[in-house]
Amino acid sequence: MGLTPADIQALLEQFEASSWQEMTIDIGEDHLHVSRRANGSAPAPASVAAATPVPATGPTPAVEPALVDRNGEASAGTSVAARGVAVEAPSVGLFWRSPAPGAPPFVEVGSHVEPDDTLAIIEVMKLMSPLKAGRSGVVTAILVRNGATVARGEPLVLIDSGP
Amino acid sequence: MSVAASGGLRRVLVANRGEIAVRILRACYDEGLETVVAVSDADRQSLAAQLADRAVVIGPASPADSYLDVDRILAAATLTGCDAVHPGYGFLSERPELPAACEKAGLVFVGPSADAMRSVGDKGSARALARKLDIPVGAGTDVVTTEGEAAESAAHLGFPVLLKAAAGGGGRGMRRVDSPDGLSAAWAAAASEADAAFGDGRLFIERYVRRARHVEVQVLADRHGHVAHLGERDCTLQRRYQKLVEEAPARDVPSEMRAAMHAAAVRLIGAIDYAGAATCEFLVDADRNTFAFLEVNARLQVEHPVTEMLTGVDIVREQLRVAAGAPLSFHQRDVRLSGHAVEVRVNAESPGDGFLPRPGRLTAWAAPVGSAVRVETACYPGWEIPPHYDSLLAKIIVLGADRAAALNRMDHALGHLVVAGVPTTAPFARSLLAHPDVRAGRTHTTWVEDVFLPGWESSDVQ
Repeated sequence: MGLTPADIQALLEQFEASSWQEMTIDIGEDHLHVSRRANGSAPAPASVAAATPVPATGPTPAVEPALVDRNGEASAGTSVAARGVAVEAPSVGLFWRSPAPGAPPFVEVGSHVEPDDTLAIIEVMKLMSPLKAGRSGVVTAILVRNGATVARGEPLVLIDSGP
Repeated sequence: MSVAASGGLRRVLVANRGEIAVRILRACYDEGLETVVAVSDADRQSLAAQLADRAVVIGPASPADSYLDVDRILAAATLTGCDAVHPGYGFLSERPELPAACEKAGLVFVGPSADAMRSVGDKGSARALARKLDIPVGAGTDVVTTEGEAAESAAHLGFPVLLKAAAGGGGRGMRRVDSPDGLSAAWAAAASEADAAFGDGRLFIERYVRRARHVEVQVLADRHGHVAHLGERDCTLQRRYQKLVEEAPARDVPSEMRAAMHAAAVRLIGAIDYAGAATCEFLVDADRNTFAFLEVNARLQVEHPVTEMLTGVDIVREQLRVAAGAPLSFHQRDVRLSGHAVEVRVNAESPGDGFLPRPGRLTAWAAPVGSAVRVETACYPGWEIPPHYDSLLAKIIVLGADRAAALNRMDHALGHLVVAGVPTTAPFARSLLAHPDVRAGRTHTTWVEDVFLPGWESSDVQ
């Protein structure tokens, strides 16, 4: 018995809700590694790798998965990211998941969104701009933590619009 | 005699950042005072950190955990042996918690007492005080607590109305509402913006005056019973309630009205136990030739150098003198308002892109120079402008024999500003000041949006 896509999604939600920087899980032959960091301290898309292939049926994943084998080394293997199309940061700024401190987030992993729905707020020099979904679908990953500084063009949220 | 020489103060903590931190450091230097600047993680490389005698990191980049945290500011001041705290503008400068905490810790707050700040800082109580003193006040409400109450008040006042943050300033938490349909969304947006900016989401409502001009009077008061004004500033050229250009004196305001506003400001500040710098804001109704009191800013104002250029009075040094218990260095009869001063705010924004703020690395920076040109800035070549704070890069202030001469000098100065790495509003400001309506003074607070921008956006000058 391996990890199912639903398992991975549940694990990602747990990870997202936590204050952890990285998470590694081994179940049987399956290996899951999630990190909020790329190489270094700059906030970067969480990378997901699982030994159980999950066919990417939607648009090509915008985020390259980090490929990690059983020894923890990068390799070309049968790994995939949470699928979906990335909504990118329109400019450098701060990524806020809620309309106000303490308020519930705009979306969670699993939320269904319409094109005009707000996913987050991007704050640049005290100017708050809503980050719109731009497409309908299901949020499959939120790639940066609340309050992180993001770069222009950085993938922030994955939305799977289905086949 | 300097403040240091008088023995009143020795070391000042500058609890702010950017150009105003640099400005305060200079005034401290002039008064012979030692300086410590409190910086966030994002400001370790700031010009203020380099210029101060000492810099202390008080927390992460997020203002809530650094510049807006009273405990961290107090800890920085006491641990570095400061005896005074200068709050600058914005951040904690209008929050009574800071002077209250300073008093408790035995530190001198460079500004009014917590009580004085409360009595004028809350716009509702300031309006009540003005009414009591027979100063004209615009039609509006006191603090409104629910959306239902807001709808009722707005209908009573008549649309359009303006929602404003009770604790506010700088255009944050302000929304114009043209009809009942727009009230709900504007109410939510203004309240949350006010809460985010000031930690206080309370709002009040004013009747919106079309073709209004924004005129404010600079006041200084000491603890020896002196209250003096330094004339007025005209801050009519705004975009979305953000001031773009300030000048002094106000153009085309009848001299009786100017005198009445000066007197009203002095009367208002004199009516409370106030020490330090204050600005009384008025709305001038150009159509009816009347003025109405808006609010008091119980702090140093961004555009204070306009008044300094015109009068020769150093407002920040006066603040330090007053904080040290010394009298103002001048009397009202000494104040001369001659010539014309203009200030332009240069922001790291892309005007062609809806004025989108654009942080980034300054790859080149050279400010204009000249005998009647003053530049207030924290910029230097190579500085990485952080995305966490406002977009103000520099204030350029010029003095001329008259308004036309000042505007010409400003055009020249802006033309000699060298910036690379981020877009700025300087070219936009040049176009703005060249417009015949600006030259003739035929503007009001929404003129930039209503008249100037539509034409400018379709031109290729940008």
